[in-house]
Amino acid sequence: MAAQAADCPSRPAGLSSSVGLAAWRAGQAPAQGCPRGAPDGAALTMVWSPATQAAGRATGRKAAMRLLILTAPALLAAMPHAAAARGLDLEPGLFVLQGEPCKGATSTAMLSFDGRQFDNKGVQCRLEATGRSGDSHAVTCMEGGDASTRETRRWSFRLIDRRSFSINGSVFRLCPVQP
Amino acid sequence: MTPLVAAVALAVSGWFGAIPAAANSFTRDAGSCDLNQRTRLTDLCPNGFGMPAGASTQGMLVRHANVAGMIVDSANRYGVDPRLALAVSAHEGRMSACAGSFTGVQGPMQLTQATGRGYGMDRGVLADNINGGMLTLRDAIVSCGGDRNIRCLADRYNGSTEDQRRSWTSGVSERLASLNQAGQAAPAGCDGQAQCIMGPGDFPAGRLPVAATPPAPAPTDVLVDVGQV
Repeated sequence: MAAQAADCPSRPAGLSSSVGLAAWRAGQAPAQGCPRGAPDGAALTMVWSPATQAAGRATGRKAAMRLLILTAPALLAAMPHAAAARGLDLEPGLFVLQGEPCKGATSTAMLSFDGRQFDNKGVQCRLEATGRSGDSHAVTCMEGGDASTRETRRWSFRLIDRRSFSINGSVFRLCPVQP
Repeated sequence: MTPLVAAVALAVSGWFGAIPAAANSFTRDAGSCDLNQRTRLTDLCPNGFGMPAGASTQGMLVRHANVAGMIVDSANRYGVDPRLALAVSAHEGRMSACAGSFTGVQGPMQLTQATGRGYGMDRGVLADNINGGMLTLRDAIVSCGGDRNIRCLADRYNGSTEDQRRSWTSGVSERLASLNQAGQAAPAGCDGQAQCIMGPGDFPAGRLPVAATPPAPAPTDVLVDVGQV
């Protein structure tokens, strides 16, 4: 075992918890040639001195900040999904392209919305994100839940009001419910 | 100099103004009338897929002469009433190769990926799109005990929401009635021949389509010999 320099900080006796060790490691900048808080294998017991507690609090704040910085991108990425989960503020029903009749509209001009996803001829598409209106969104489309038919499309989606929206500039409007 | 520039600009604008701009690039006929061709929809539709411009059923037959001929041939091949097949295509995608919905359904029969695959067809190929749609329609007819019950066919062919099936029923019924009108000649297919009659395809809405065959000379036409101009 290499000899430790005389001015190397020594770990407080009786420190065994990971919190206490972290506090000690963080609070003690190791001098050149000193081991960085490496445990020496001695059996330790926990000692909560006021100094250790203060160091622990400071380290806790730092750790919390680090945790926040590390997880922030993931949290930001998850936010649109959370928005998508909340759903669009759009009435469910049959939507047709503006200018098309509700009765007998061509298949390509129709989209049904069930409150969660859009459907045309059994192909269901769901917005992965509902960020700013008019943004280009990744839309996952699947036919009858068959994963082998999964396609990602891009829609520039704009919610006009609860009864109309546009995709890539094409305006769809809600048809009245037929008896 | 300025009058010259103005004159050139006027001439250029007049020239471009005379060129009929494509009002709707999703209205596109096939290059030939042959069910054996392996033309991909993407090759026919460089501008992508979308909602074809509106037209009457008869107008679609003129505009998409080759696609209509292929539909009739496919219907005859699989024992489907050609008029019903044309009515379905007219409702589904206005007989256009470039018809497409925002969910990715494509082609004159609006065939979905899984349905096409179920029949061993590649829905991205025009002939497969038509044949796959025809096989779906044939099986729907068998399942419905005949082709009279359009509502039943809607359930089998469209298979989407109740609203869409209802719309399909009325849309196909109207198109079929228009094709069945007294005096309408039975639509002809290509009978496996690549007739290469170019349908007018793209033309601005509101303007008359270009005739597939040139009209006979009118009495007032001035005949000009070759070399005179």
